[in-house]
Amino acid sequence: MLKQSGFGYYVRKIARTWKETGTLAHIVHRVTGILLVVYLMVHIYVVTQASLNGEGYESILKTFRDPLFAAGELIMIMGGLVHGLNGIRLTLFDMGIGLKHQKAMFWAFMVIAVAIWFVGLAIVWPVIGGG
Amino acid sequence: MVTFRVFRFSPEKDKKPRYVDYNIEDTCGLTVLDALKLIKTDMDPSLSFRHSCRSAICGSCAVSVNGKNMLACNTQVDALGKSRIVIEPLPGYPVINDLVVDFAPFFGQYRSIRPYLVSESQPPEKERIQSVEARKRYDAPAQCIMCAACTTSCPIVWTDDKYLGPAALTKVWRFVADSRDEITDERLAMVNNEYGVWRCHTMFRCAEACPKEIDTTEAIENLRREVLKRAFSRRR
Amino acid sequence: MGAPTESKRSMWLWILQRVSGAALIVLLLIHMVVLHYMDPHDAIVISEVKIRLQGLTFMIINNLLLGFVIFHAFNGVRNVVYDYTSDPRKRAAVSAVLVIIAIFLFAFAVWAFLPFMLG
Ligand code: HEM
Ligand code: SF4
Ligand code: FES
Repeated sequence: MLKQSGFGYYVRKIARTWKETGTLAHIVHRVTGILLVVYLMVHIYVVTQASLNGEGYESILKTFRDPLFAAGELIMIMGGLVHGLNGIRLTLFDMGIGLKHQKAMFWAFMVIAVAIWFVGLAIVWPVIGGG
Repeated sequence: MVTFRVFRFSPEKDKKPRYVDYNIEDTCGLTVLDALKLIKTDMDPSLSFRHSCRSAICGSCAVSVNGKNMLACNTQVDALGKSRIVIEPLPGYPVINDLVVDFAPFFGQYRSIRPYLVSESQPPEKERIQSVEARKRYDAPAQCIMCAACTTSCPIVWTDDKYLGPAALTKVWRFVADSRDEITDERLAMVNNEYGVWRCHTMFRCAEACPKEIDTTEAIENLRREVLKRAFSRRR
Repeated sequence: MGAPTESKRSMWLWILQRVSGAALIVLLLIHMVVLHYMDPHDAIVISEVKIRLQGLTFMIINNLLLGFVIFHAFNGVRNVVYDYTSDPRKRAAVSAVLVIIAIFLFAFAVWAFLPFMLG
C-alpha cells in the first residue's frame, strides 16, 4: 500500500488547498502564532537586559531604532493583530457563534486588523518618523 | 473535450504514483463516476475505483476531484466548469490500488465509538419511539453515509493517526443528541482526550467536503460544549 | 481512551488556551499603551521605564501578562507538536521539555525584573 500520511505529505497536500478560507485562516493563525513565540523570546531577552545590563540595553535599543528593526516591529504588530483577531473568531465558534458565516467573519476580522494597525501607525509615526 | 488526469498506482508495478490523462469528447450529462466507468470500459480496463449505488447512498465512491473530496456519483463533470479534472484517491489513508484507499482506520475509529443506540431499559413491543421534535437535534448527522470525505479532508487526520476525526466525532454527537441513548457520559468520555474533540482546529474542511451537507464542524463544537456542560454541572 | 486525569488535563488546557488568549487582548493593549504610547515623544530610557513599572497595579498586570503569554505560547507550541505526532511517548517528552523551558523563562523574567518591581 502507498502511504498517504506524515508531515511531508501534510505540507504538500495542504499547500494545494490553502485558498480555502478556513484552511487559510488556520495556516495564518499557526504561522503567526509560531512567529509570535519567537518574537516573545527575543523580546524577553531584550527587555530583561534593561534590568540586568543597563549599557547593553541602551545599545540594543539603538539597534532597534534602525528603520529595518522598526519595520520588523511593525510587521510583528500586524502578526499579533491578525493572530489575536482570528483567535477571537475561533473562540466565538467555540461558543457556538458564527459557524455559518466563518468565511465572511475571517475577512471582516482581517479588515479590522489592518484598520487597527494603521491607527497604531498614525500614533507612533511622529516617534519613528522623527528618528 | 475534458481531460481527466487520473492518479494511478499499482502496488505490483509502481514504486510511485503516476498520473494518466484520458480525454472524453462529450461530457454532457456525465457524472465523474460515469466518466471513470467510461474510461474503464473504453480506454483502460485496469483502472480501479469503488462504487455501487450511483445515487449518493452507499458512500463508496468518494474521491478527490481537483483537490476536494466529493462523491463521484453526484458530481456533474460540466458543473465543475474545468477542461482538466484531476482525480485522486481520498487523502490520508493508504492507497491499495489506483483510487481505492484502505478504509481500515476509518472503520476502526467508527467501531471504537460504539456507533449504535445503547439502552438498558426493556425494549418496548414495537420500537423506541422518537418524537419529530426531539429527532430534529440530530436529523442532519443521522444522514451520514460513511463515505469518509470529511475525515480524509482533515489535515490533522493525515498526521495524527489516532485522532478520531470528524465522521466518528459527528457520530458520537448523533447519539449524544439522541434522547433515547443512555450512555451519554461514556460517549463524552470517549471524546474528551487528546485524540478527541480538543484536537479539532475548526478549519471547516470536513463540513465543506460532506456530500450530505452535514455540518460536521458544528457537531464537533456541539460535542465540546456538551463535554464542558457536563464537567461543570458535575462539580456543583 | 484517555484516563480521567488525562482527559481533565486536555480539557483544561483547551479552555485555558482560549481564556489566556482573551486575557492577552486586554493585557497586551494595556502593555502597548503604557509602554509605548503614553508619552510617545520621548525616546524610551531606562529611568522612565523603571518608574512606569513601579506600583502595585503595574506589577500585577505585568506579571499576569508574563504568565498568560508564556502559558499561551508554550501550550500553543505543544498543540502544534501534538497535531504532527500521535505517539504518546514523543508527546509526553515534548510536553516535559516545553514545561521546563516555560517555567525557566517565567522565573528568569520575574527575577530579572525584581529590582524594578521593588523600586
Ligand atoms: C492577542 C490575543 C490572542 C488571542 C485572542 C489568541 C488566541 C488563540 C487561540 C484561540 C488559539 C487556539 C487556536 C486553535 O486551537 O486552533 C491560539 C493558538 C496559538 N497562539 Fe494565540 N492568541 C493571542 C495571542 C498570542 C500571542 C501573543 C502568542 C505568542 C506569544 C500566541 C501564540 C499562539 C500559538 C503558538 C498558538 C498555537 C497555534 C496553533 O494551534 O495553530 N498567541 N491563540
Ligand atoms: S459526515 Fe458527511 S462526509 Fe463525513 S462520512 Fe458522513 S456523509 Fe461522508
Ligand atoms: S456510488 Fe454510492 S455513493 Fe456514490
